[in-house]
Amino acid sequence: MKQYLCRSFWLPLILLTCPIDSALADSAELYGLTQSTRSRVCAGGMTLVRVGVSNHGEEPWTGKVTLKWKRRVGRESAREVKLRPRQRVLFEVPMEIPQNFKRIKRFDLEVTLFDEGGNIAAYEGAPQQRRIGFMMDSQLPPLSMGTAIEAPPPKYPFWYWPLPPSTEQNTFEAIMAARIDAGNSRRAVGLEHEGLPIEQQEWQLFDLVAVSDPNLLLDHASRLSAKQYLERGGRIWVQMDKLNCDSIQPLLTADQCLMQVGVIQLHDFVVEVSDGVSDFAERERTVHVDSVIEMKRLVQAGGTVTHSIDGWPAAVTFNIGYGQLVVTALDSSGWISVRSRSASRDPLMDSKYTMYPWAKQLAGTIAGVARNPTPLTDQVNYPVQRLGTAVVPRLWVLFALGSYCLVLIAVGFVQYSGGRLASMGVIVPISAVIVAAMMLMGRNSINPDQSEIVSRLQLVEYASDGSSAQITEQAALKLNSVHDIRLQGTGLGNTEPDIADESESPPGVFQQSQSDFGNWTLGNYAWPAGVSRVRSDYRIYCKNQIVSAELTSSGVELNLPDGQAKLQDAILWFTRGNPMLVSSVAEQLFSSGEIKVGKQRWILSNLMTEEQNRRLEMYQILFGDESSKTRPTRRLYGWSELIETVRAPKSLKQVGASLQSMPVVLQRPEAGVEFELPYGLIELRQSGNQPGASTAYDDRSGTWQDELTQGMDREFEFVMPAEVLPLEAKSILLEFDVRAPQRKVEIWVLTQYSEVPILSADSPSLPWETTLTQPEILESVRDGVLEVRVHVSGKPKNASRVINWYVGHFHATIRGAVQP
Amino acid sequence: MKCDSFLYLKLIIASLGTLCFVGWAGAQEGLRGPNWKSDPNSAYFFQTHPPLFRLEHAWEHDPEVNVDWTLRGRPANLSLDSDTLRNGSKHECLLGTRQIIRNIEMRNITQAEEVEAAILDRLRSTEARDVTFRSALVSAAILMADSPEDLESLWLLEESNYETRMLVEKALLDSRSSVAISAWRGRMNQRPRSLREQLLAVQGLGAHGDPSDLPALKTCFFSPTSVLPIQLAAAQSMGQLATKGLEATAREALAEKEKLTGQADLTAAYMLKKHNSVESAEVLGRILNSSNRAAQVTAFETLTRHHPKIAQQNLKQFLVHPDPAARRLALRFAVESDANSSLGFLQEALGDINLKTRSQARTHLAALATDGSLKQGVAEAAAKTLQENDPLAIEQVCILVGEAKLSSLAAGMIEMLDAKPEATLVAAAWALQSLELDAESLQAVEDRMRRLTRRNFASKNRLPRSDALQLSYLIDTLVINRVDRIRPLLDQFIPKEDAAPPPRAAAIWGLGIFEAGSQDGKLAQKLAERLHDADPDIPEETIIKYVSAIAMGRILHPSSEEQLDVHLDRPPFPIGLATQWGLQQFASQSDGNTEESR
Repeated sequence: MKQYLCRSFWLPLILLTCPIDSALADSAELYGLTQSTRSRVCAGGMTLVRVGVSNHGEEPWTGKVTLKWKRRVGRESAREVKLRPRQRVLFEVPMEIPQNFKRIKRFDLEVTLFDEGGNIAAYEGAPQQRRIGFMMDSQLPPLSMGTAIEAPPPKYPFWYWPLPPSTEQNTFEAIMAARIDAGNSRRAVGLEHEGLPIEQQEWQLFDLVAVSDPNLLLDHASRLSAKQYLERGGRIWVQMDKLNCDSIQPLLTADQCLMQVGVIQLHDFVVEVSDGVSDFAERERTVHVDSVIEMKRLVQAGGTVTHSIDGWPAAVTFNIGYGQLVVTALDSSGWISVRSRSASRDPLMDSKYTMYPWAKQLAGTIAGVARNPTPLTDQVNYPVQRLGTAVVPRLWVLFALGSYCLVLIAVGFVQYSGGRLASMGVIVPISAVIVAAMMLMGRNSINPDQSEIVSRLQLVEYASDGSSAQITEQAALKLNSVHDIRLQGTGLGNTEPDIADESESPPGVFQQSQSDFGNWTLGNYAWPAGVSRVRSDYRIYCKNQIVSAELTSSGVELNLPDGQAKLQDAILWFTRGNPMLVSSVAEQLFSSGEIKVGKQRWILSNLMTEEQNRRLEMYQILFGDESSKTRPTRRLYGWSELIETVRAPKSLKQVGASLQSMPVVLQRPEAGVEFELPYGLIELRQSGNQPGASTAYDDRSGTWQDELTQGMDREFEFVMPAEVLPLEAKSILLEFDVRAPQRKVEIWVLTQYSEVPILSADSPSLPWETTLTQPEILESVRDGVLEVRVHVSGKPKNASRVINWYVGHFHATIRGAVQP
Repeated sequence: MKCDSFLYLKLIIASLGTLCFVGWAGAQEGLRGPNWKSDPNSAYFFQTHPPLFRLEHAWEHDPEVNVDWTLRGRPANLSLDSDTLRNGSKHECLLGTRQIIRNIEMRNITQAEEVEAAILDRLRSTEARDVTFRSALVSAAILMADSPEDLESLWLLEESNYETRMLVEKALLDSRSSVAISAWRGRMNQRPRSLREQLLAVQGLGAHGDPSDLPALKTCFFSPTSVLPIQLAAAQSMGQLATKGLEATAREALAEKEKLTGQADLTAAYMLKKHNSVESAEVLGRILNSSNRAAQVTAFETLTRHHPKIAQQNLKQFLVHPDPAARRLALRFAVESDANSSLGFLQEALGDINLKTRSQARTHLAALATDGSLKQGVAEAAAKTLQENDPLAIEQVCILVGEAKLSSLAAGMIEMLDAKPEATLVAAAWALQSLELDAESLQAVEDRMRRLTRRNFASKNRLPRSDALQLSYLIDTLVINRVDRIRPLLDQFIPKEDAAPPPRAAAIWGLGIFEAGSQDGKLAQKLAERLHDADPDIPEETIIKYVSAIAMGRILHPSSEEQLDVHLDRPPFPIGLATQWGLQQFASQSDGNTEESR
C-alpha cells in the first residue's frame, strides 16, 4: 500500500516535471559518435567528432548538436541540424584543443542533441546525450602532413604476362622518403577518402599537404580552399605523375602560369640543380634506370625552378600568398633510390627509399619546415587602444585653467586696489589646490563614452587577381555588464575568442556554431563585462580590386580601382625590403621615394594624430615580423574604413579601421617617354654568378644584417620590373648608406666588358650617392639588370677588437625610357 | 627454486618450439612460390587501363566457347537524391557534388539528367552567390555535361562570374561549342586580370577561332610583357589556325632566342605545323639542327606529313634520337614511306631500351608479315635477331613469331624454352600456341611439359611464376594440337593445392576438349567439386571454376546439367557465363537427340 502510494505520488510529479513535448514527441536520435581520422589530438590541435543524427519521425526536425568539455573549459562547439522525415545525416563537428592541455593524457567531450526549443532531445525516452573519450596522442610528429595520393596500382591478375615494371606506389614512397630524409615521422593524415578539406580550420592542421590524386582536384571548391590554405602560409607538394596542369592552374596567382607541352620518357638523365645551396658534380647528378621514368615537359612563369633536366623544369616552387606550392614534373620514381641503410629502428621513422643526394635540399624545404607565419597571429594593441580611455576633454581643461587665471587676475586687482596684495600669498596656493582637486574629481566622474563598443582592426589582403580577399581581424569588445551576445559571419572562415592566457577561464561559455556551410556564429549567453577580445579569419569575394601604377617623370602614380575608398597613410611594398612612403596630393596617390621609410617614419605627416601613432605601431609590427620574409610583393598598403565585417549586435557601437593590402599592376610606359623608376621598384639580390651566399644581406627579406663583423666581396644585382624592358637608361642614381669605420669600401659596376670602379672610400661614415651616366653602364642595364660588386675589407690588421660595420640602405633609382 | 627453473625451461622450450613452427610455416609460405591470389578490384582498372601488351592464354578466348567473360568488375551505380541537391542545405548539396565528382570517371550516376537539372536549378538560387559553394556546383555540372549544349547553358549562367566562368571556358575548349569566342576575342584586346584568363583566351582562339584571329595572336606572341607559357600557347594557336603565311613570323621568332628563353625553336615549330610551303620546310630544317629536342620532334613530325623527302633525309638521325617518342615517330615514318627498306630499322629497334618503342617495332613487323611478299623478310629479320645476344630483342622476336605465325621459327622457339631471362622462356612458350608444329616439335614441347609437370608434383614447392606460366602455355599448345598422350597427366592438375592456377586452368580446359562428349562421370564429378568449392579458408580461383564449368559443358555427363544449373552465379559474372554456356550445350544436345529420334 505504501509502495503504491509512493508510486502514485511520484508518477504524476514526473509527468508534470518532464517536458512532454520534447521527451515523448521527439523523434531524433544520436546514432553514431566517432573520432575522424583527420583529428590532431594534442595540445593546440583539433579533434573532429563525427556525429550521426537520425530523424525517425514523419515530420521535419530541427535542432542542434553541441560538443562540451567535461572539464572546465570556456568553449564549446555546435552545429545546427535540419532533417527531413526519416532522414539520417552524418557530419563532423570540430573542437579545438586548448594549448594548456599539455599535461593532460585523456579528456572527454559531452555530445548533446538539442531540439529547436533548446531542450535535450529524447528518443524512446532516453535523453540524447553521450560522452566520447580521447587519448592525447603523444607520438604526433611536430610537423603534420596530409596526403591525397592516388589509389595504388592494382595487382595484375595472376595469369597476366608480362609483369608490370613496378607495382610500387611511387608517389607515396617519394613523399615518405622526403619526410624521413627531413627527419620527420611517416605519420600522415590520409585525405584520399574524404577529399581535400573545405573548411580552413581543418587545413590549418597541416604543415604540408602532398597531392597526387587527380580526382581530388577536380572539385573547384576544394581548389579554392587549397589556395586559401596556401595564401595563409601553407605548403602543398603536387606530384605531376597523374595530374595535369589544368588542375593546378587555379591554385596559382594572377602572374603565375604553368603549361604542359609534352611528356618525355627518360632512361638516363642529368639533373641541373639551382637551389642556391647544393653543388654536385655531374656524376652525382646522373641517374640511370632500367625501367622508364616519365617527365612532363612544363613551361612556367612566376615560379622558381630548383631542378631541371635537359632545360625542362623538374621541380618548380611558386610563392602563393605566404605559402608555397611545389610542383615536381619528374615522375616520383626519379627522385628516389633504395635506401642502403635503415634510417631508424622505429618503423615510423624509416623508409625503404631515400631521396637522391641532389634532391635532399628540396626534401628539406618541402617536408622539413613548418608552415610559414602569417601576420597578426599575436595580439596587437590597436583594438584596445581604439576603445579609448577616460580623460577630461582638452577644452574643459582650457576653460578651467583660463577661468582660474581670470579670477586670479581679478582678485589680485581687487587686493591690489585695497592694498592687501600680500594676502595673495595665501589665496593663490589654496585656490590652486581647490581647482586641481575639482579637476581630478571631474576626471574620475567623466567617461567620454559610456556606450558599449566593439573596436576592430582588419588586415584585408586582396588576392593577386583582385577577386577575393582574406580578412584577418582582431577585435576588442567593451561591455558594461554581462550580455548574451553573438557575432555572426559568412564565407569561409571562423571567429574565436582570443584569450592570451588560456589558464584564465573567462566567465560564460563561448560557443562556436555552424548553421550551414559558410555561416558561423560565436556566441556567449553570458559574455563577460569589461574588455574581451576575439579574432576572426575569413574570406570575401569582390570585383577587380587592383591598383594600377604608372611611372611618371618624378615617380610612380597609383590609381585605385573604381569604388574603392581613398587609402590613408599608404605604403608601397613593390619589392621585398624596399617599402616606399606614399603621399596623397589632390586625391591622387603618388610615391617618389624622396623621403625614405625609417624605423620611426612610416607615415608622411608633420603632426601625427593618435590614430596615426597607432597605425605607425601597426606598420612597425607588420613589416618587422617573421611573416615579412614571405609577404607578397607588388602591394599597396593603406588605411580605410572598416569593410564587410563579422556582424555584432547593433547595440554595440563599432569603431576601428581596416588596413588594406591591394595588388599593384605596373603599367608599361609608352615607348620613348621618359620616366623615373624609383628604388622601391627595383629589387636588390645577390648574384647567382658566385657560389654560395653572403650572410650580410638576406635575399628573402631584402634586408641587411644589423651588425656586420666580417668583410664582404660579393656581386649584387639590381633587377628592374619586366614592364620597363627593354630599357634605355638616361642616368642611374646609386645610394649607399654604409658606416664602416677602419674599413675600405669599394664598388664596381659590372658591364659586359669591364668592371667600372665607382666608389673607393676609407672608413665611410656618411651616406654616399652618385649619378652614373657612363654609356657602357647605361647600355648594360638594357635587359633590366644592373650588376655591381661590393667589397668591404675585413678586420683591420692593427685593430685590437672587432669593429662592426653596417648598411642602412643600398638603392638604385633609374631615369630612362622604354625602347620600342 | 627448482620448480621455478623448471617452469622457465618449459617456457623457453615452448617459445623455441613456437618460433620454429612459425619459421617453418613462413618458409613454407615463401617456398610455395609467388602469390597467385587475384585482386578483384583490379578488374575495372584493367578494363580502362589495359597493359601495353600481354600474352593471352588459349582458354581465355576459346573460339568455340565464344564468351567474353573477362574483367566484369564495375562499381555499383551511384544514386543521388535530386531533391537534396535542389533544396537541401548547402552542406548536403556539397556532399552530393563531391560524390558526383568522385564517381564521374565511372559514369555510373543513375538519373543523371535529373541530377544535372537539379544542380542547374541550385545555381540559379540566390544562396549560390557564395563563390565556394557555386564552384562546387559548377565543377559537378561540367563533369556531368554530355553535350556542347549543356556547356552552353552553363556558360550563360556563369559568363559574368570571374571564378567559375574560367571552369566553363576550359570545358568549352575541348567541346565543339564556340559560344565563348567573343569573350576570348574581347580579352585579347585588353589587359587580362590573370595569366590563367589570358591562357584560356589564347587557347580558345586556337581551338575555335579563324584566320582573322591571327593578328591578335601574333601581337600577343610578340608582346614584351607576354610570358613564355602564353607565347607558346599563342604559337600553338597560330599553328592550329594557319596553313600558310607564318613563315616570316616563325623566322622572326627564331631570331628572338634570348627573349623566348630557349624555346624559340619550339614556338617556330608550333607555328608551322600545318604549313607545306618550301619556305616552311627550310625553317623546319633549321629547327632540326637546333638543340631543343622537343622542337626537333615537332618539326620532324610536320616534315613527315608535309615534306616527306626532307624527313627521309633526316630519318637516320631520328631513329637514334634520345627521345623515344622521336624514335617511334621515325619508325612509323620509315614503315609508311618504304616498308621493304624499313625492315632493317625495325629489326634494330626490337632491342631498343624503351619498351614502348620496341613493342611498336614488333607491331610494325607483325603488320608487315601479313603481306605475303614481306613475310619471308620479317622471318629472316627475326631469325637474325634470335642469333644475337640481346634478351630484350629476343623477347620481342618470340612474341612476333607468335603474332605473325612464323612457323619456320618453331625450332628457335623450342630452343628458347630453356633460355634466360624468364621473359624469353614464357614468350617462346606462348608463341608455340599459334604455330603449325611438326611431330618432332610437338614431341619436344611434350617432353618439356612432362619435365615441368614432374618438377611441379615432385616436391611441395610450387614452380616459379615464369615456369608455371610456361607450363600453362605448353599445355595450351599440346591441347590445341590435340596431343592426347598428355591426357592422363592433366588429371593431376584438378586438385586445388598441388599446382599454380594457370597450368590448372589450361589442364582443365584441355580435359574438356579431350573428353568432349565422353560423358565421363568421374571426371565430371571432380570438376563439379571445383565449380562448387566454397572453402572459405582456401577459396577456389574464379578462373578454375570458369574453365571447370566449360569443361563440364563439353563432357556432357547428365549429372553436370543440374550441377551447372544450381550454381548461384549468373551472367555477366564469369562463372555465370560459363554455366550458361554449359547449359546451352546440354540443351543443344537434347535438341540433337530429339531430332535424331524423329
